Amino acid sequence: MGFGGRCFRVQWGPSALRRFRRSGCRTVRLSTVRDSTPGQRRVPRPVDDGDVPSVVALSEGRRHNGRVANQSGGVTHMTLTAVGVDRPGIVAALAAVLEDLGCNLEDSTMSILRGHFAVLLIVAVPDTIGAETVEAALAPAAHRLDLTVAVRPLGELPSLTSNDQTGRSRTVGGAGADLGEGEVYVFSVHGADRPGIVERATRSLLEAGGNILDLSTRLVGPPDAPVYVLHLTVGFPPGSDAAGAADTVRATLGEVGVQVHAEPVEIDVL
Amino acid sequence: MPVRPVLTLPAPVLTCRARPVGSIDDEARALAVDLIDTMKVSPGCVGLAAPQIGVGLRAFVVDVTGHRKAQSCHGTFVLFDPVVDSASDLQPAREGCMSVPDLTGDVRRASQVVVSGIDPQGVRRTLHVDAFEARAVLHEIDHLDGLVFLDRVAGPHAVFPRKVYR
Repeated sequence: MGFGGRCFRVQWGPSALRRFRRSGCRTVRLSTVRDSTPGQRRVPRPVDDGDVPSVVALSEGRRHNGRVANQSGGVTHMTLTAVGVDRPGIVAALAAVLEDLGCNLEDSTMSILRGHFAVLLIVAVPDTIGAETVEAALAPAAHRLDLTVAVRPLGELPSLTSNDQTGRSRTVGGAGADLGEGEVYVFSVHGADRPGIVERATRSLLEAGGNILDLSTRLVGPPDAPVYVLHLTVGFPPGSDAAGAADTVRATLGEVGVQVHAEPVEIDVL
Repeated sequence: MPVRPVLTLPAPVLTCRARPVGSIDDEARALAVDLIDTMKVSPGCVGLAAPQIGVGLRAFVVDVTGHRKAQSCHGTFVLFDPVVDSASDLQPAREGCMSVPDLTGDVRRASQVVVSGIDPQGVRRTLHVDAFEARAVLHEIDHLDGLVFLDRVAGPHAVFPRKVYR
Protein backbone atom coordinates (compact mmCIF):
# COMPACT_ATOMS: atom_id res chain seq x y z
CA MET A 1 0.00 0.00 0.00
CA GLY A 2 1.25 3.41 -0.82
CA PHE A 3 -0.60 5.10 1.99
CA GLY A 4 -0.76 5.00 5.74
CA GLY A 5 -3.31 2.69 7.32
CA ARG A 6 -5.50 3.19 10.34
CA CYS A 7 -7.94 0.88 12.01
CA PHE A 8 -11.42 2.18 12.71
CA ARG A 9 -14.05 0.49 14.77
CA VAL A 10 -17.45 1.77 13.82
CA GLN A 11 -20.79 0.90 15.33
CA TRP A 12 -22.63 1.75 12.25
CA GLY A 13 -25.38 2.53 10.06
CA PRO A 14 -24.33 1.30 6.62
CA SER A 15 -23.98 4.89 5.47
CA ALA A 16 -20.80 5.09 7.54
CA LEU A 17 -18.97 3.22 4.79
CA ARG A 18 -20.18 5.63 2.15
CA ARG A 19 -18.82 8.45 4.23
CA PHE A 20 -15.52 6.63 4.53
CA ARG A 21 -15.41 6.60 0.75
CA ARG A 22 -16.36 10.26 0.39
CA SER A 23 -13.67 11.23 2.86
CA GLY A 24 -11.07 9.57 0.64
CA CYS A 25 -10.59 6.44 2.74
CA ARG A 26 -10.20 3.02 1.22
CA THR A 27 -11.27 -0.20 2.91
CA VAL A 28 -8.45 -2.70 2.89
CA ARG A 29 -9.92 -5.04 5.47
CA LEU A 30 -13.44 -5.33 6.73
CA SER A 31 -15.04 -7.47 9.32
CA THR A 32 -18.40 -7.12 10.98
CA VAL A 33 -19.97 -9.32 13.56
CA ARG A 34 -23.41 -8.96 15.03
CA ASP A 35 -22.92 -8.98 18.78
CA SER A 36 -26.42 -8.43 20.02
CA THR A 37 -29.67 -10.22 20.18
CA PRO A 38 -31.68 -10.16 16.97
CA GLY A 39 -33.74 -7.04 16.69
CA GLN A 40 -31.64 -5.13 19.18
CA ARG A 41 -30.61 -1.74 17.91
CA ARG A 42 -27.21 -0.28 18.44
CA VAL A 43 -26.58 3.09 19.88
CA PRO A 44 -24.30 5.47 17.98
CA ARG A 45 -21.13 5.88 19.91
CA PRO A 46 -19.40 9.23 20.14
CA VAL A 47 -15.74 8.83 19.25
CA ASP A 48 -13.28 10.96 21.10
CA ASP A 49 -10.45 10.92 18.60
CA GLY A 50 -9.36 14.13 17.04
CA ASP A 51 -7.68 12.33 14.13
CA VAL A 52 -10.88 10.70 12.95
CA PRO A 53 -12.77 12.74 10.37
CA SER A 54 -16.00 13.78 12.01
CA VAL A 55 -18.03 12.59 9.05
CA VAL A 56 -16.74 9.11 9.68
CA ALA A 57 -16.78 8.99 13.43
CA LEU A 58 -20.48 9.26 14.10
CA SER A 59 -22.85 6.62 12.91
CA GLU A 60 -26.44 7.47 12.20
CA GLY A 61 -27.94 4.32 13.55
CA ARG A 62 -30.29 2.44 11.30
CA ARG A 63 -32.75 4.76 9.64
CA HIS A 64 -33.33 3.25 6.23
CA ASN A 65 -35.92 5.87 5.45
CA GLY A 66 -38.18 4.42 8.06
CA ARG A 67 -37.59 0.83 6.93
CA VAL A 68 -35.49 -0.82 9.55
CA ALA A 69 -34.88 -4.29 8.28
CA ASN A 70 -34.09 -6.17 11.44
CA GLN A 71 -36.97 -5.08 13.54
CA SER A 72 -39.28 -7.83 14.66
CA GLY A 73 -40.18 -10.19 11.82
CA GLY A 74 -40.26 -9.60 8.13
CA VAL A 75 -36.69 -10.40 7.16
CA THR A 76 -34.85 -13.24 5.54
CA HIS A 77 -31.11 -13.74 5.60
CA MET A 78 -29.03 -14.06 2.47
CA THR A 79 -25.39 -14.52 1.62
CA LEU A 80 -23.78 -12.05 -0.71
CA THR A 81 -20.43 -12.73 -2.30
CA ALA A 82 -18.51 -10.30 -4.45
CA VAL A 83 -15.21 -10.97 -6.19
CA GLY A 84 -13.14 -8.82 -8.48
CA VAL A 85 -10.03 -6.76 -8.97
CA ASP A 86 -9.58 -4.51 -5.96
CA ARG A 87 -10.24 -0.82 -6.29
CA PRO A 88 -11.47 1.92 -3.96
CA GLY A 89 -15.21 2.13 -3.40
CA ILE A 90 -16.34 -1.47 -3.68
CA VAL A 91 -17.58 -1.87 -0.11
CA ALA A 92 -19.18 1.56 -0.11
CA ALA A 93 -21.00 0.81 -3.38
CA LEU A 94 -22.37 -2.50 -2.11
CA ALA A 95 -23.39 -0.97 1.21
CA ALA A 96 -25.20 1.89 -0.52
CA VAL A 97 -27.33 -0.46 -2.63
CA LEU A 98 -28.15 -2.61 0.39
CA GLU A 99 -29.12 0.42 2.43
CA ASP A 100 -31.41 1.65 -0.32
CA LEU A 101 -33.14 -1.73 -0.33
CA GLY A 102 -33.67 -1.53 3.42
CA CYS A 103 -31.23 -4.36 4.12
CA ASN A 104 -28.97 -4.73 7.14
CA LEU A 105 -25.44 -5.88 6.56
CA GLU A 106 -24.80 -8.17 9.52
CA ASP A 107 -21.74 -10.46 9.58
CA SER A 108 -19.04 -9.98 6.98
CA THR A 109 -15.47 -10.69 6.10
CA MET A 110 -13.34 -9.45 3.24
CA SER A 111 -9.89 -10.05 1.99
CA ILE A 112 -7.51 -8.89 -0.69
CA LEU A 113 -5.14 -11.42 -2.22
CA ARG A 114 -2.61 -10.11 -4.72
CA GLY A 115 -4.89 -7.30 -5.76
CA HIS A 116 -8.04 -9.38 -5.92
CA PHE A 117 -10.92 -8.45 -3.67
CA ALA A 118 -13.38 -10.88 -2.12
CA VAL A 119 -16.11 -10.28 0.40
CA LEU A 120 -18.71 -12.52 2.00
CA LEU A 121 -21.68 -10.89 3.69
CA ILE A 122 -24.67 -12.08 5.67
CA VAL A 123 -27.46 -9.66 4.91
CA ALA A 124 -30.89 -9.32 6.51
CA VAL A 125 -33.30 -8.56 3.68
CA PRO A 126 -36.96 -7.52 3.98
CA ASP A 127 -38.94 -10.64 3.15
CA THR A 128 -40.79 -8.84 0.42
CA ILE A 129 -37.56 -8.85 -1.59
CA GLY A 130 -36.09 -11.94 -3.24
CA ALA A 131 -32.47 -12.80 -3.86
CA GLU A 132 -32.89 -12.11 -7.57
CA THR A 133 -34.10 -8.60 -6.80
CA VAL A 134 -31.12 -7.90 -4.56
CA GLU A 135 -28.77 -9.25 -7.20
CA ALA A 136 -30.46 -7.15 -9.89
CA ALA A 137 -30.20 -4.03 -7.73
CA LEU A 138 -26.49 -4.69 -7.32
CA ALA A 139 -25.94 -5.28 -11.03
CA PRO A 140 -25.17 -1.68 -12.06
CA ALA A 141 -22.56 -1.30 -9.34
CA ALA A 142 -21.16 -4.74 -10.13
CA HIS A 143 -20.89 -3.81 -13.79
CA ARG A 144 -19.27 -0.47 -13.04
CA LEU A 145 -16.75 -2.04 -10.67
CA ASP A 146 -16.24 -5.23 -12.71
CA LEU A 147 -17.39 -7.45 -9.87
CA THR A 148 -18.89 -10.91 -9.86
CA VAL A 149 -21.73 -10.74 -7.34
CA ALA A 150 -23.94 -13.56 -6.15
CA VAL A 151 -26.83 -13.41 -3.68
CA ARG A 152 -28.28 -16.60 -2.26
CA PRO A 153 -31.05 -17.18 0.28
CA LEU A 154 -29.83 -18.59 3.54
CA GLY A 155 -31.83 -21.13 5.50
CA GLU A 156 -32.54 -20.72 9.16
CA LEU A 157 -29.74 -18.61 10.57
CA PRO A 158 -28.00 -20.38 13.45
CA SER A 159 -28.10 -18.54 16.71
CA LEU A 160 -25.00 -16.51 17.39
CA THR A 161 -23.92 -18.59 20.35
CA SER A 162 -25.40 -20.79 22.95
CA ASN A 163 -25.45 -17.67 25.09
CA ASP A 164 -28.35 -16.44 23.02
CA GLN A 165 -30.18 -19.70 23.35
CA THR A 166 -29.91 -19.79 27.10
CA GLY A 167 -29.66 -16.13 27.90
CA ARG A 168 -27.09 -17.07 30.52
CA SER A 169 -24.53 -14.55 29.44
CA ARG A 170 -27.07 -11.78 29.76
CA THR A 171 -27.33 -12.36 33.46
CA VAL A 172 -24.89 -12.44 36.29
CA GLY A 173 -23.11 -15.72 36.45
CA GLY A 174 -23.27 -16.56 32.78
CA ALA A 175 -19.93 -15.41 31.48
CA GLY A 176 -17.33 -18.07 31.20
CA ALA A 177 -19.80 -20.89 31.52
CA ASP A 178 -19.16 -22.11 27.98
CA LEU A 179 -15.40 -21.88 27.87
CA GLY A 180 -14.81 -25.47 28.86
CA GLU A 181 -16.37 -26.90 25.73
CA GLY A 182 -13.91 -28.10 23.15
CA GLU A 183 -10.51 -26.66 22.40
CA VAL A 184 -9.18 -24.29 19.81
CA TYR A 185 -5.63 -24.48 18.47
CA VAL A 186 -3.69 -22.18 16.19
CA PHE A 187 -1.30 -24.02 13.88
CA SER A 188 1.66 -22.24 12.36
CA VAL A 189 3.10 -24.20 9.43
CA HIS A 190 6.03 -23.06 7.32
CA GLY A 191 8.73 -24.48 5.15
CA ALA A 192 10.11 -24.70 1.64
CA ASP A 193 7.21 -24.65 -0.77
CA ARG A 194 6.14 -28.01 -2.13
CA PRO A 195 2.86 -29.53 -3.28
CA GLY A 196 0.55 -31.06 -0.71
CA ILE A 197 1.22 -29.07 2.43
CA VAL A 198 -2.39 -27.95 2.90
CA GLU A 199 -3.73 -31.35 1.89
CA ARG A 200 -1.55 -33.19 4.40
CA ALA A 201 -2.31 -30.81 7.22
CA THR A 202 -6.05 -30.67 6.69
CA ARG A 203 -6.42 -34.41 6.15
CA SER A 204 -4.70 -35.10 9.46
CA LEU A 205 -6.87 -32.58 11.22
CA LEU A 206 -10.07 -33.93 9.69
CA GLU A 207 -9.18 -37.46 10.77
CA ALA A 208 -8.70 -36.15 14.30
CA GLY A 209 -12.13 -34.53 14.33
CA GLY A 210 -10.83 -30.99 13.90
CA ASN A 211 -12.85 -28.30 12.21
CA ILE A 212 -10.99 -25.53 10.40
CA LEU A 213 -12.28 -22.17 11.60
CA ASP A 214 -9.85 -19.93 9.78
CA LEU A 215 -7.10 -20.37 7.24
CA SER A 216 -4.48 -18.15 5.70
CA THR A 217 -1.67 -19.09 3.35
CA ARG A 218 1.09 -16.98 1.85
CA LEU A 219 3.77 -17.81 -0.65
CA VAL A 220 6.74 -15.61 0.12
CA GLY A 221 10.47 -15.45 -0.45
CA PRO A 222 12.51 -15.33 -3.66
CA PRO A 223 11.21 -17.18 -6.74
CA ASP A 224 14.05 -19.67 -6.65
CA ALA A 225 13.46 -20.51 -2.98
CA PRO A 226 9.79 -19.90 -2.18
CA VAL A 227 8.58 -20.33 1.37
CA TYR A 228 5.08 -21.50 2.17
CA VAL A 229 3.43 -20.05 5.28
CA LEU A 230 0.16 -21.50 6.50
CA HIS A 231 -1.86 -20.55 9.55
CA LEU A 232 -4.88 -22.51 10.67
CA THR A 233 -7.30 -21.99 13.50
CA VAL A 234 -8.82 -25.34 14.34
CA GLY A 235 -11.63 -26.22 16.70
CA PHE A 236 -11.77 -29.63 18.36
CA PRO A 237 -15.02 -30.87 19.87
CA PRO A 238 -15.19 -31.89 23.52
CA GLY A 239 -13.58 -35.24 24.14
CA SER A 240 -11.29 -35.19 21.13
CA ASP A 241 -7.52 -35.43 21.45
CA ALA A 242 -6.44 -32.02 20.27
CA ALA A 243 -2.88 -32.36 21.53
CA GLY A 244 -2.60 -35.75 19.81
CA ALA A 245 -3.87 -34.24 16.59
CA ALA A 246 -1.22 -31.56 16.80
CA ASP A 247 1.42 -34.27 17.17
CA THR A 248 0.03 -36.09 14.14
CA VAL A 249 0.12 -32.99 11.96
CA ARG A 250 3.62 -32.26 13.16
CA ALA A 251 4.76 -35.77 12.24
CA THR A 252 2.94 -35.81 8.88
CA LEU A 253 4.43 -32.54 7.72
CA GLY A 254 7.77 -33.20 9.37
CA GLU A 255 8.19 -36.04 6.89
CA VAL A 256 8.40 -33.47 4.10
CA GLY A 257 10.54 -31.00 5.99
CA VAL A 258 7.80 -28.57 6.99
CA GLN A 259 7.75 -27.12 10.49
CA VAL A 260 4.57 -27.14 12.54
CA HIS A 261 3.93 -25.25 15.73
CA ALA A 262 0.60 -25.64 17.51
CA GLU A 263 -0.63 -23.55 20.41
CA PRO A 264 -3.91 -23.86 22.26
CA VAL A 265 -5.89 -20.65 22.29
CA GLU A 266 -6.54 -19.54 25.84
CA ILE A 267 -9.19 -16.95 26.45
CA ASP A 268 -9.01 -14.78 29.53
CA VAL A 269 -12.39 -13.51 30.58
CA LEU A 270 -11.88 -10.27 32.43
CA MET B 1 -28.60 -4.63 46.39
CA PRO B 2 -25.19 -6.25 46.52
CA VAL B 3 -25.33 -8.34 43.32
CA ARG B 4 -26.26 -6.43 40.21
CA PRO B 5 -26.86 -7.51 36.61
CA VAL B 6 -23.85 -7.14 34.35
CA LEU B 7 -24.65 -4.93 31.38
CA THR B 8 -23.66 -5.81 27.84
CA LEU B 9 -23.17 -3.77 24.68
CA PRO B 10 -24.80 -1.58 23.49
CA ALA B 11 -25.56 -0.20 26.97
CA PRO B 12 -24.59 3.49 26.70
CA VAL B 13 -22.86 3.51 30.09
CA LEU B 14 -20.25 1.13 28.67
CA THR B 15 -19.15 3.60 26.02
CA CYS B 16 -19.03 6.77 28.10
CA ARG B 17 -16.17 8.06 30.19
CA ALA B 18 -17.01 7.46 33.84
CA ARG B 19 -17.04 10.32 36.35
CA PRO B 20 -14.53 10.64 39.19
CA VAL B 21 -15.71 9.38 42.56
CA GLY B 22 -13.94 12.06 44.60
CA SER B 23 -14.44 11.57 48.32
CA ILE B 24 -15.07 8.08 49.60
CA ASP B 25 -18.42 8.07 51.37
CA ASP B 26 -20.94 5.39 52.32
CA GLU B 27 -22.29 5.36 48.77
CA ALA B 28 -18.85 4.69 47.36
CA ARG B 29 -18.26 1.94 49.90
CA ALA B 30 -21.61 0.39 48.96
CA LEU B 31 -20.52 0.45 45.32
CA ALA B 32 -17.33 -1.39 46.30
CA VAL B 33 -19.41 -4.08 48.01
CA ASP B 34 -21.63 -4.41 44.96
CA LEU B 35 -18.63 -4.76 42.67
CA ILE B 36 -17.07 -7.43 44.86
CA ASP B 37 -20.30 -9.36 45.34
CA THR B 38 -21.16 -9.28 41.66
CA MET B 39 -17.67 -10.40 40.69
CA LYS B 40 -17.73 -13.25 43.20
CA VAL B 41 -20.96 -14.75 41.88
CA SER B 42 -19.81 -14.57 38.26
CA PRO B 43 -17.95 -17.75 37.30
CA GLY B 44 -14.50 -17.08 35.92
CA CYS B 45 -14.78 -13.35 36.55
CA VAL B 46 -11.53 -11.76 37.73
CA GLY B 47 -12.55 -8.14 37.56
CA LEU B 48 -15.45 -5.78 37.15
CA ALA B 49 -15.73 -2.07 36.52
CA ALA B 50 -18.54 0.11 37.85
CA PRO B 51 -19.96 0.90 34.38
CA GLN B 52 -20.50 -2.82 33.85
CA ILE B 53 -23.07 -2.77 36.65
CA GLY B 54 -24.59 0.44 35.38
CA VAL B 55 -22.72 2.96 37.51
CA GLY B 56 -20.82 5.63 35.61
CA LEU B 57 -18.16 6.16 38.25
CA ARG B 58 -14.44 5.47 38.16
CA ALA B 59 -14.18 2.35 40.30
CA PHE B 60 -13.24 -1.25 39.70
CA VAL B 61 -12.52 -4.48 41.50
CA VAL B 62 -9.93 -7.09 40.55
CA ASP B 63 -9.10 -10.47 42.03
CA VAL B 64 -6.85 -12.87 40.13
CA THR B 65 -6.37 -15.23 43.06
CA GLY B 66 -5.69 -18.74 41.82
CA HIS B 67 -5.52 -17.86 38.14
CA ARG B 68 -2.86 -19.91 36.41
CA LYS B 69 -1.44 -16.93 34.54
CA ALA B 70 -1.19 -14.70 37.59
CA GLN B 71 2.20 -13.74 38.96
CA SER B 72 1.57 -10.75 41.18
CA CYS B 73 -1.61 -11.18 43.19
CA HIS B 74 -3.02 -8.59 45.57
CA GLY B 75 -6.17 -10.55 46.36
CA THR B 76 -9.47 -8.74 46.11
CA PHE B 77 -8.98 -5.00 45.78
CA VAL B 78 -11.18 -2.09 44.82
CA LEU B 79 -9.72 1.17 43.56
CA PHE B 80 -11.53 4.45 43.08
CA ASP B 81 -10.29 7.05 40.62
CA PRO B 82 -7.39 4.84 39.49
CA VAL B 83 -4.45 6.28 37.59
CA VAL B 84 -1.87 4.29 35.63
CA ASP B 85 1.47 5.66 36.77
CA SER B 86 3.55 3.51 34.46
CA ALA B 87 3.00 0.69 31.99
CA SER B 88 5.54 -1.28 30.01
CA ASP B 89 6.36 -4.59 28.33
CA LEU B 90 3.46 -5.12 25.96
CA GLN B 91 2.24 -8.69 25.65
CA PRO B 92 -0.52 -10.12 23.46
CA ALA B 93 -3.33 -12.32 24.75
CA ARG B 94 -6.86 -13.21 23.81
CA GLU B 95 -9.44 -11.53 26.01
CA GLY B 96 -13.11 -11.93 26.62
CA CYS B 97 -15.43 -9.72 28.60
CA MET B 98 -18.71 -10.23 30.40
CA SER B 99 -20.03 -7.13 28.69
CA VAL B 100 -19.19 -8.48 25.21
CA PRO B 101 -20.36 -12.05 25.67
CA ASP B 102 -20.23 -13.29 22.09
CA LEU B 103 -16.74 -12.25 21.05
CA THR B 104 -13.10 -12.45 22.03
CA GLY B 105 -10.14 -10.49 20.71
CA ASP B 106 -6.37 -10.44 20.67
CA VAL B 107 -5.18 -7.43 22.63
CA ARG B 108 -1.67 -6.22 23.46
CA ARG B 109 -1.41 -4.80 26.94
CA ALA B 110 1.39 -3.82 29.26
CA SER B 111 2.47 -6.60 31.58
CA GLN B 112 4.29 -4.35 34.06
CA VAL B 113 2.02 -1.71 35.52
CA VAL B 114 2.04 0.67 38.44
CA VAL B 115 -1.46 1.82 39.32
CA SER B 116 -2.59 4.09 42.10
CA GLY B 117 -6.00 4.97 43.46
CA ILE B 118 -8.10 5.30 46.58
CA ASP B 119 -9.27 2.19 48.42
CA PRO B 120 -12.67 1.89 50.16
CA GLN B 121 -11.10 3.10 53.41
CA GLY B 122 -10.13 6.31 51.70
CA VAL B 123 -6.43 5.47 51.71
CA ARG B 124 -4.34 6.14 48.61
CA ARG B 125 -2.69 2.94 47.45
CA THR B 126 -0.04 2.30 44.84
CA LEU B 127 0.15 -1.22 43.45
CA HIS B 128 2.82 -2.84 41.28
CA VAL B 129 1.01 -5.44 39.22
CA ASP B 130 2.29 -7.66 36.45
CA ALA B 131 1.30 -10.41 34.04
CA PHE B 132 -2.37 -11.38 34.29
CA GLU B 133 -3.14 -9.01 37.15
CA ALA B 134 -1.77 -6.12 35.08
CA ARG B 135 -3.95 -7.14 32.14
CA ALA B 136 -7.02 -7.31 34.37
CA VAL B 137 -6.34 -3.86 35.84
CA LEU B 138 -5.85 -2.27 32.42
CA HIS B 139 -8.96 -3.98 31.05
CA GLU B 140 -11.04 -2.58 33.91
CA ILE B 141 -9.56 0.91 33.62
CA ASP B 142 -10.46 0.84 29.92
CA HIS B 143 -14.08 0.36 30.98
CA LEU B 144 -13.80 3.58 33.00
CA ASP B 145 -12.75 5.37 29.81
CA GLY B 146 -15.68 3.96 27.84
CA LEU B 147 -13.57 1.40 26.02
CA VAL B 148 -14.03 -2.33 25.64
CA PHE B 149 -11.47 -4.78 24.32
CA LEU B 150 -12.97 -4.41 20.83
CA ASP B 151 -11.49 -0.92 20.81
CA ARG B 152 -8.00 -2.30 21.49
CA VAL B 153 -7.67 -5.04 18.89
CA ALA B 154 -5.15 -4.69 16.09
CA GLY B 155 -7.75 -5.03 13.35
CA PRO B 156 -10.76 -6.90 12.03
CA HIS B 157 -9.05 -10.26 12.00
CA ALA B 158 -8.17 -10.04 15.67
CA VAL B 159 -11.82 -10.48 16.68
CA PHE B 160 -13.23 -13.96 17.09
CA PRO B 161 -16.48 -15.65 18.05
CA ARG B 162 -16.43 -16.51 21.72
CA LYS B 163 -17.85 -19.95 21.20
CA VAL B 164 -17.25 -22.26 18.29
CA TYR B 165 -19.12 -25.42 19.26
CA ARG B 166 -22.82 -25.51 19.78
